[in-house]
Amino acid sequence: MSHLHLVDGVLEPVWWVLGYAITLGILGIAVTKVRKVELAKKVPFIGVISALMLITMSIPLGFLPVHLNLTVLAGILAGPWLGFIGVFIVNLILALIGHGGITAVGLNTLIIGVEVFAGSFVYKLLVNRIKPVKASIISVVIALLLSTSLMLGMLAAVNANWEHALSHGDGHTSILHEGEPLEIGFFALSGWSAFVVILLSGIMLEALVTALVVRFFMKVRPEMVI
Amino acid sequence: MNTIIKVKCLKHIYPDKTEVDICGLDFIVNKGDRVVILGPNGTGKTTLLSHILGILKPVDGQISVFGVNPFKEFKHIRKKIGVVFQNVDEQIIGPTVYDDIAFSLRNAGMSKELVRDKVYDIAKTLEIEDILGKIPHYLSGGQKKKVALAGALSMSPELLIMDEPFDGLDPKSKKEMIELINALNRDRGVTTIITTHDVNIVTYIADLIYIINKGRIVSSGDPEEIFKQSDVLKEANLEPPILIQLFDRLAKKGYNVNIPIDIDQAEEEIYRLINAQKCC
Amino acid sequence: MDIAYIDQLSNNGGGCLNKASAISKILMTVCIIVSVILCENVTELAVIFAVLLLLIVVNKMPLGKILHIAAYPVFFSLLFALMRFSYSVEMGFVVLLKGANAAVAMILLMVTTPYPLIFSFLRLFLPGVVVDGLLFTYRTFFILLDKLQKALTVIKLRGGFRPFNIIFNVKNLAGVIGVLFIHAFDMSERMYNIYSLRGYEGRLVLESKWYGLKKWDCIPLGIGIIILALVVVL
Repeated sequence: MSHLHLVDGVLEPVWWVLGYAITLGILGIAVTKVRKVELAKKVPFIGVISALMLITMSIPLGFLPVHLNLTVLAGILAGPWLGFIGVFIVNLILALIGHGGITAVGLNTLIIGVEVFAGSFVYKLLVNRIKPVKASIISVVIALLLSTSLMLGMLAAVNANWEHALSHGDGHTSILHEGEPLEIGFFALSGWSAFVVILLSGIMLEALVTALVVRFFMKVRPEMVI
Repeated sequence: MNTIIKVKCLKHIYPDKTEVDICGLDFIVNKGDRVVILGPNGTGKTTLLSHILGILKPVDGQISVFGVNPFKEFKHIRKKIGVVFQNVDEQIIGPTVYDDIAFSLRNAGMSKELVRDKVYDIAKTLEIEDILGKIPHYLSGGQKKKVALAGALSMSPELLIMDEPFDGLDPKSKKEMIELINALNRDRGVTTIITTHDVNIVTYIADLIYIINKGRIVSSGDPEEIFKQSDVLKEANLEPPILIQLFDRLAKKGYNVNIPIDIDQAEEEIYRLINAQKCC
Repeated sequence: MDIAYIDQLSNNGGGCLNKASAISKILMTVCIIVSVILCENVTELAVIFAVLLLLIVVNKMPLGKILHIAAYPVFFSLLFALMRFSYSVEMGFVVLLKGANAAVAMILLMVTTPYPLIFSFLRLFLPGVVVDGLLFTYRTFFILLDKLQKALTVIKLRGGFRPFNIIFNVKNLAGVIGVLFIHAFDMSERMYNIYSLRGYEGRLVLESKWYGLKKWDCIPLGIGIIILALVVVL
């Protein structure tokens, strides 16, 4: 739940073009990696992983405006490369139905892709040293904090860029000089704190569900998570 | 006789380490046969089919399909076999019914025109021309089974394998499916292997029945022979078809009746009985 | 999830856009999204939005339902708009309308064009594995969604869902998700087996004609080009 569903038209083209370029580059590497190991067999698996991510997103959780992603779980189960392809597919399908801009697919994939990579890496590192359930919690927290920082950093950069353009009287945004900035500081502040609360509860929730599912696998199919 | 399948004492180990020995009698299928594998759920019917299809690799035992080992020569046998699995949803890949029927044809590299002709031909046989443009997940259970069957038939297979094809079908769809399977056997000479636990259908679709129980093939024979073996059936948690049970009771009460295996024979028997009563 | 509904509309709609070829609608969507990116004028953006709404109505699509699908992305635009509202109301609306326009344009494409056509078009830009993965995702999505919905209904019927107790729900959910994952993985294995039997060797061959222009194509092409031209000129 650390992605923001960036919308079209908010980002400077240079950002989303760069996002697409990096994503397609990683996708290219991922495809070559996958191709080495029985491609035909992996394609249905990619489909299943992506479908599972899409589906867990649609599970109603009650009153909180968050949804599960289970990207780290996907990374643990499918490995980083297949997981990354899955994340791209999920973002593309979401963008096609208007959930997140089509121009933002590259950036969104990168942000969530970080979860898959960091999650599976940390999990692999820890799983032989501590219990898988604990390893999964730590992986989720680290992965989601990373992706959240990446997202916030990116937003800050985008925003700084935008304000920079503004203060230099950029042609497109000069309209702003006509009016006084509105006094909605308090609202913006409470908006941000609400946002942080939602983010943190999202991370906790994701960690909890991932841990519970890993515990479930340990009981019935331990070979899937070890 | 032209034997196309021969299976002898297969041993299989599942991922959860459960071992299954599909042993007992040999499983033999000849060209043109209508074979039914009858048995309760979870006794190894699907496992046996998966081995015949070359999907599973046996740990031990002998298996030959069209004269070759199916696991080793998967590509060779798959062109001769059409298959409809129990869960047809997982089998249908095409975004539309047309695309799904065309799937194998396109994989085989056929021209667009040939694909279209074949798809329409099969759709006509199965009477699904009106749903060719539809997307699979909005179809009814019976329609989905027909689409899966159409996909299986697209490459004109010599052998048609269906795993529990009547599960979840309403009586009308069941009847249609029976007629279809028999027509394929009669008109196109397709050998059929069908698994089921529904004894009441068996007599309509089988020349040869294998009863499988707890992994073992415990009996084989034509329907008449099989349904006389009430001990074997009971052991496998099966009961003879209701018609046979009824005539069995009449026979035990001293009526001079032959045990019928389908409704037509039963009708004749009843007429005979009534006429015999009338005349004396 | 609205995917099933979108799929239903795209396959069964009989409006003028449904009759046009995929490529012209894709071009229209690209034109609109480029316009949205370029345009910083609230009136122009509002006009584009009005044109999109008009297209939905003319095409006999359910306006309410499409706007409902678009509400989610608009909510996210609102977050970005909030940052801009602190400078000017107009700037806020610009962001809001940009998000809404792009989302509605995208949804309009999806509700009028069956997905295999769009995925086939994407084959031009994406690795084959990814496009095949997209198709598999689409197919398995419906199968798994059905399973999940049944499981959730069972949970609710058996008293396992409390609207205000998220921890309680999550515990029960995790079990369902676990089962769903295992079922899904086994299913992917079975699907691979079945498709191999049906001749699949690592590439899904679909005959999807997304190109080839028809007379109906002048509508989306015309609208797309006019919008883009006006945004660039004005």
